[in-house]
Amino acid sequence: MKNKIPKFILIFIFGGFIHASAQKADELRMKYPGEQAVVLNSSISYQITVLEGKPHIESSENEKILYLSSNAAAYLSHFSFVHSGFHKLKGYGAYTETTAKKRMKVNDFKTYSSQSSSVFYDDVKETSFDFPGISSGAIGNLDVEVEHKNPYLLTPYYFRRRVPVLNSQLSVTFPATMSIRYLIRGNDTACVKFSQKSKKGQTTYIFEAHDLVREMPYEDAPDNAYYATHVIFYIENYIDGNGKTINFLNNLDNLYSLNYSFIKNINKEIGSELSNIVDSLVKNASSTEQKARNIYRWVQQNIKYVAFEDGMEGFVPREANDICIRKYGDCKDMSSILTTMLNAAGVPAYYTWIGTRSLPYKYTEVPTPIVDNHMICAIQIEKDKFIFLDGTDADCQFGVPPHGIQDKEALIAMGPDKYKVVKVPIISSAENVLVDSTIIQLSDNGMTGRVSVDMKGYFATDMHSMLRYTPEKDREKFIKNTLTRGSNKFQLLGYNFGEQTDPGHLAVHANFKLDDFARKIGEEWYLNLNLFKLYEHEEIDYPKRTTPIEFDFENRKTYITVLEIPPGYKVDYVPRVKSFHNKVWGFKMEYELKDDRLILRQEFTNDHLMLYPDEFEQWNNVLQELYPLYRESVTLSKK
Amino acid sequence: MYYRNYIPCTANQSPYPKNNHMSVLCRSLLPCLLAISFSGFSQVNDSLRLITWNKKPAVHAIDSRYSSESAVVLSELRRIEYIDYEGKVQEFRTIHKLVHVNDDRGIEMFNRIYLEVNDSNDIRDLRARTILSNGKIIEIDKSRIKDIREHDRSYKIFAMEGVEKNAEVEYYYTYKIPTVFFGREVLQATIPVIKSDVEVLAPDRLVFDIKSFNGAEKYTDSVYNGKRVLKVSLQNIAGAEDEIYSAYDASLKRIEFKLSYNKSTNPDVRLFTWNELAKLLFEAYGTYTDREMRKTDDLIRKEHWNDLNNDTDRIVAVENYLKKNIGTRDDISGNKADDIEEILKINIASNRGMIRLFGAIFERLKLPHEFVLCGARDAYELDRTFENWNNANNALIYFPGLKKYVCPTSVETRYPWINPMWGETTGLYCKPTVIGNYSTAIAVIKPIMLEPYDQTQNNTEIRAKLNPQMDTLLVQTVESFSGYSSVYYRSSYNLSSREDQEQMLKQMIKSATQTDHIISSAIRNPEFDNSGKNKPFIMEASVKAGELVEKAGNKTLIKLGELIGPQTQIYNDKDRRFPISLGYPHVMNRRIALEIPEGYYITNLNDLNITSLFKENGEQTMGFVSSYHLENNTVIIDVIEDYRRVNYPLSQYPDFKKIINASADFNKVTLALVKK
Repeated sequence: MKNKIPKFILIFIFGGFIHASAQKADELRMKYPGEQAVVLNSSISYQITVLEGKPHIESSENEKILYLSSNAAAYLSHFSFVHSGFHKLKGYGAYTETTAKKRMKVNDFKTYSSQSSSVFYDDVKETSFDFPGISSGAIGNLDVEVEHKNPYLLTPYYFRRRVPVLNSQLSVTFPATMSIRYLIRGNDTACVKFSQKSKKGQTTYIFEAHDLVREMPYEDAPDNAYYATHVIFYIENYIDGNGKTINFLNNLDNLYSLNYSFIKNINKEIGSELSNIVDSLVKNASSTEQKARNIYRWVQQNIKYVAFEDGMEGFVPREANDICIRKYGDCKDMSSILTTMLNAAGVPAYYTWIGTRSLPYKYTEVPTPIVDNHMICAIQIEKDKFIFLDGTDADCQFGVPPHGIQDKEALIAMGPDKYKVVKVPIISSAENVLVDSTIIQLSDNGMTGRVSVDMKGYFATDMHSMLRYTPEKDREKFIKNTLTRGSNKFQLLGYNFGEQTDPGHLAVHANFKLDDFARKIGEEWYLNLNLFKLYEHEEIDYPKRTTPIEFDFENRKTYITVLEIPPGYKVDYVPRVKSFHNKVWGFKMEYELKDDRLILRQEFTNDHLMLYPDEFEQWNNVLQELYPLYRESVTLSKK
Repeated sequence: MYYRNYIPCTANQSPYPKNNHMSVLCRSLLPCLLAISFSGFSQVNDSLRLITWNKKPAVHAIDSRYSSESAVVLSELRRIEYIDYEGKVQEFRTIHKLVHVNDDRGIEMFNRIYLEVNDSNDIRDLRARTILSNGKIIEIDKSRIKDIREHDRSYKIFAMEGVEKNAEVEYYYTYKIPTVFFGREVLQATIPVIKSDVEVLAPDRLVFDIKSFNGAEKYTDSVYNGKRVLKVSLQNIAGAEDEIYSAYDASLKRIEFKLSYNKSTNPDVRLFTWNELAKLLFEAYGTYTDREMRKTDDLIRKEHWNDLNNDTDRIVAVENYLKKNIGTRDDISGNKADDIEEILKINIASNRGMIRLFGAIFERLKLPHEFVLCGARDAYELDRTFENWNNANNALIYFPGLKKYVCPTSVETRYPWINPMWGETTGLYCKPTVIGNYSTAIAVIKPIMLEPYDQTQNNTEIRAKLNPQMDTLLVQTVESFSGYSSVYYRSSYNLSSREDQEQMLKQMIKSATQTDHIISSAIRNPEFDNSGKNKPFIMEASVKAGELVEKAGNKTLIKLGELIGPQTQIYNDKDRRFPISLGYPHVMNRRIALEIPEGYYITNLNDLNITSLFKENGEQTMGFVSSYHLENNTVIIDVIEDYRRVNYPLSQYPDFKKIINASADFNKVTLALVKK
């Protein structure tokens, strides 16, 4: 996956503008009890001009942090900001205003590479330093001035931080002959005050927000673009030096032209090595679809994901012939080789851009480079029916998109001026099915049993993927951890897989032993057939939490526990049967006594990719109905 | 069993490998090291021994015993070469590695290469190629090699081309590193290594010692082109994964080397001795300018440390003041950060600066103290007879009168509770001495002692009873953590926001009671200064735990065992490779008082009796004992678990497992409540 638009953000917990009347530390301590620090002011002002017929963008940013923790000096002095090759640092400086109102300047800045885990190499750098002389009540101040070398890549402005922010402001100044469009997005757009002023042929847009509480991080939340309040702004058009109106990012046509410029000069010729591979893959294929399947499979299996994103390398796909030899590439490269191979085989294939689910934007709403972060290949075997092929996922089923791009718009390159926007489908819960069956036998030696887990759809592809990266010698441990149930006394006694050739299906069967789970007290057995207690302790922190919850895919899970009643015993007590569904989700739990077997069947269905705060209460209501059922055991006594 | 990892505030998240050429501490002493003279240079500039690789390589057939591995290192050469160049001794390091790749994971392990270098310009030679099973060879174009600088380390990174299953990846490179006359090469990794060679080449006058750790490999000593070559060869090093309760890094096979003699100066004088290091350390940490002393005196007066009753109170007060008001990290450096006057102005110190500040204050308080260097049990320890200065990576200050330590550079720890991984290792104590009117120090090598096991207690007192509906257990719990256990809780609590403190408290309660239905809760004694007197960090909570009660028809089951929290269960000791290493010695005393409702009795109280003890030479070294007695309508359960040592040999692993599993057994105990 290509990196997100190189960001210019101030990282660490604090994220700048000098507030003329800084409130006293004591007052703020009362207002924000227990906070380690507050951002007094955070501001960035962009100055956009037209130079030599092209937009020229500079910004000055200021951060002012008031330290509140009495231990601030011990661990909060470190601060940094991140920049990339698309930024030219024109100047930066930092100082501390001590509690004695003395200014202490920062002299020691260090700049290092800032690598992310998913990208092998890029030009993102982090400049860090320590604020000197800090203590509770001291104020750290940072100023950074930047020239933005690529005017298409303006980073949205986020108002909140992980600590409270008193004043947060974005201003954009541009010539009257330029049009800037903006969108305010997030959960709380009402907190942003917009104003506009004009002076000497310059327009300034000002976005400000005050007294913002800290942002709470949640592991299961989507990217903060989904909920955090932010302003997206970009140049729509401007008049250049010759009086000509330049449509810059006026609409999707302009964005498409930009994107198309990245691909127009690549893959003019297919080399013999790649061509031979294509020939060998399609020679026995009986249909166009089969050709496409064979080629997609080959790329999935042979081209490994390695991303180099140095400047424009982050946007321009590499030559398919090179990728074929190197056997690695990033998402753009996978799109490049797939599109080239498929077209060579006579399958209509197109370079396609898409924003993964980490981005909430639509091409039609936000026609700027922030809308997407990924490239795939779209093929068209039947008229008006596109199949999306993502080379970065080695275990994806042909025809099924990876779960990370479901429900997202794809921008398909059909020609120099021709494109289509097509939505990638959501794969419904009926397709992603997990059936987990446990058969339990009780004897004087304890509890043993058999497990069968049958996975379809994303459950299967995810498992194939995990197996791919688990070496043979670690398989048993992996399977044990995957199948474990009851307690940490679960022991695996051998396992096997069913047929492993279908990426969309996988079954695993195993025998196990589980000590101390079923308890024999006197002549009676006690056993809780709820081997998993799914969702226990997973109540949503409602109403406090205001950020949505993201799920990988919609799904249906069924857990069947079969207790084989030991000879000479009878079931004394069968727990309640219950089913509960509301508008948001639900479950079904049934016990059935059939011959010498007591069967518990649990079903959970989740038809959400995203759960929003207005659904949290109902989600929790289901859990309230569910938890008591987990506390029911069955009893067996002598006949 | 209870064990918490220390999470330092400055944890480095780098994905890249780290070959410690020089410890942070040694680097701070670099100016001193370079002052050591190595006369006797040959007039001719030495030439570097470089690698030539096989011109016609082919993929190797791999033994079937390696077929389930993701990849196998066929051969690896690490060569350290010292050469005379322009009047200086320069050091170069060469790595030559050949790897056979078996599966997708193996491909992904070796299709991206990160090579640590000192400076990206100091590369003498670098080549890399992929050898395919069809005979094709793809060499990496030098233009595709990128430079990365990450904090204090630089890397050459590149992607190997054409890597597929059964391909081989081969690369070699030679680079210059700042000259240091000792080093360490860790040879064992998660995948097997069939052949591994380490060579130390040096001009004949420089006599190196070499030693293998976690193995008994011998070295050969030969002469090549007039240079001494020390060589250790290892074959068939098994791949080793991390194991629970082990000191993984410390247990891997490794080679260390050091310069011991310079024949051209004085062949009988051993170089880089512990005494010499002690002298340097005293110089670096224990000598101060008059101006620094005046500033130190000002601080002592301002904080009234001389007015305190005793040495312990003074140490506690000094440590709390400095660690609250001054930040230190190992990536902070520079003259200002070393200078006491500057540090007191800017509140930022290098590690060396912080140690000096502590030293100066203790000196002016006339508090007898010694600077101590040590390694770490989970990494590399100091060796009395093999003076690898690189392993003396951590600094403590020892108070001989109190027989206790303070760790000056760690914001989390408080006297006398140092990072326990540094304890039970060998320490270099710089014992101050006066020669004439010149103050210096001599080295005393002796163990770093941890506080006795019974000073670290994780105790729990629980009162539990069923609600009238008999579907929920009402639990009042008091958990207290003293000694080394308290360090983690105190630092996490004090160095975070209130929101995070509340989250931490919730997590602690959930772990102790299995529920998040909290009625009331509190933290007692969170302040750092409680550590000096070992007042425990206390968590109190009152909860309604429906999760601990199950219904089975007319019977009520109480999952009492879960009140001791989740417990590790160990299986499969047959493959256990490494001895047992624990964080610190400790004891857990838990008392649970469960009220039995009127008219009911518990049918299986005997399940509460579990005993598993281990004695060595008649003395208990670890154990788990749970027992109960009845007082009226209340059953009182005592669960005592202790681990009195930090290291147990591999031979005791089965016994250790029994004790660990005994607590896991107790954790599963469920009591059945029946009507009389």
